[in-house]
Amino acid sequence: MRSKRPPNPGSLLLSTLLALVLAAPALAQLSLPSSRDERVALPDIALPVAGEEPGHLVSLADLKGEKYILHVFASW
Amino acid sequence: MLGVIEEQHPERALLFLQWKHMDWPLLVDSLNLLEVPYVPITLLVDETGHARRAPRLRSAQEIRETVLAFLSEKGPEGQEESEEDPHQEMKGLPIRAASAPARPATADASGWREYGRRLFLTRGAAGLDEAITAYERALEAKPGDPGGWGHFRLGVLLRARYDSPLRREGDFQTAVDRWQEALVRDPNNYIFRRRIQQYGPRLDKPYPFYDWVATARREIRERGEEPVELSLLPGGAEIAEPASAGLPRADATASAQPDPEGRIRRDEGELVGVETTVVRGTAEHGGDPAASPLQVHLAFRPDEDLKVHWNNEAEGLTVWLDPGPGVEVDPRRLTVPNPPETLSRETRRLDFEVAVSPDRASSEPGSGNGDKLELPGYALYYVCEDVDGTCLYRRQDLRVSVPVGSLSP
Repeated sequence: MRSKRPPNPGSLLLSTLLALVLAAPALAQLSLPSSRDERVALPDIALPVAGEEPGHLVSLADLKGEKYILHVFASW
Repeated sequence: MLGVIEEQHPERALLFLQWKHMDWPLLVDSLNLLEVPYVPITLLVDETGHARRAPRLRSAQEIRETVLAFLSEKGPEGQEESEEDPHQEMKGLPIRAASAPARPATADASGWREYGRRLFLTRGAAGLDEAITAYERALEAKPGDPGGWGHFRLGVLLRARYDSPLRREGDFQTAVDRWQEALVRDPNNYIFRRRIQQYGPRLDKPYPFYDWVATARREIRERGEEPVELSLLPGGAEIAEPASAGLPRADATASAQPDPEGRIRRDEGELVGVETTVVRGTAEHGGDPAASPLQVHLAFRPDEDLKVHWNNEAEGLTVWLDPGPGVEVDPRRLTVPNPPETLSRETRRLDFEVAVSPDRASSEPGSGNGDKLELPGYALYYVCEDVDGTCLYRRQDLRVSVPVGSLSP
């Protein structure tokens, strides 16, 4: 059976953002929380910032002091 | 809002955000260092850096209420409700300036992976050769690669080099082969699967991957903005609609063969180099069993040393394929239209699907693992040597080699 296309990321305005998080299976990998009840410290994984020069990284572990809605997605 | 993009070409996501007026900062995870097996995933991160999954919600009102409730939750020090506008973009990111790593004299598999990862993140394209070597060494040191991450990431790096000026012959094909190896190791990983399907045949596509790009670029221009520049415009397989049936039977009369008698003088590759990449569907790894065709990608590059240019005042590049009985090719005749400039030097790309009947496949010598079928065809093009040099009409004979045996070990 074919997979459904993920919702268009253009619908990610606040009013519809979380509609994208439907029926996702448990996260088997890594240290991201796998359920709503699980609360974990984000891992120290540094990633480049789009549009910045190489070497300018943001570690997920540094996302503190503010609230963030972190959306992991693809535009396809 | 903070986005993390799990794509080979992150600038496409930037274009999408621009198109939709979504002014988020974006982190790039082409290597999938987060090791997510699918997207999308949304996390609610509090002030202490702890995250939880966003709940499953079924209505816009539920979503709005949940997000607003999260944003107004009191912090660990009894902070008052946030007065921030939830629509407002995040002001700043805690950016670290990381330096390039020193090359280890010796390392185990994890050491080479770490070195390769840091090289790619800190040096970008300039570090690709060395990063690829590092990931290759990691796989040599630990060839099993449980989970397939080593193969997947090596494929990402190879495809990145293919898209860069550092490109080497075969980079794209090797990238595809690595992604296939990754999917063999974890057929449940949809990031692996989608990466292959992005370049694969229509029967294996769940949806057209980048069909929105042309509309986005047009609409952004119509509102007076310049679209985010893309290093590579998606085309061919990347924008193709999924198919629900096998390839149409080729009708030789529908499009006439352009040089049936072979009278056009040959270019043996001195003027234009041709690189072929074959992408198999994912059917052998739990995908759609009907998805048996192959997607063949051709890239034509004018020779740099001879300063060869396309002559755009004549017809565009044409490819004719003559696969013989038992092999369906769609389409049999392909063309690349000329750009508006009189002369140009760009790489010209096209792709097509091939389906080999079981009878033809089994008739090939051996027809076991790793066996190949040669598809004859040719390309016709108008090129000029140097800027003011001689202009020529040339034919280059093609022999596209496609696998007919099983991929599975």
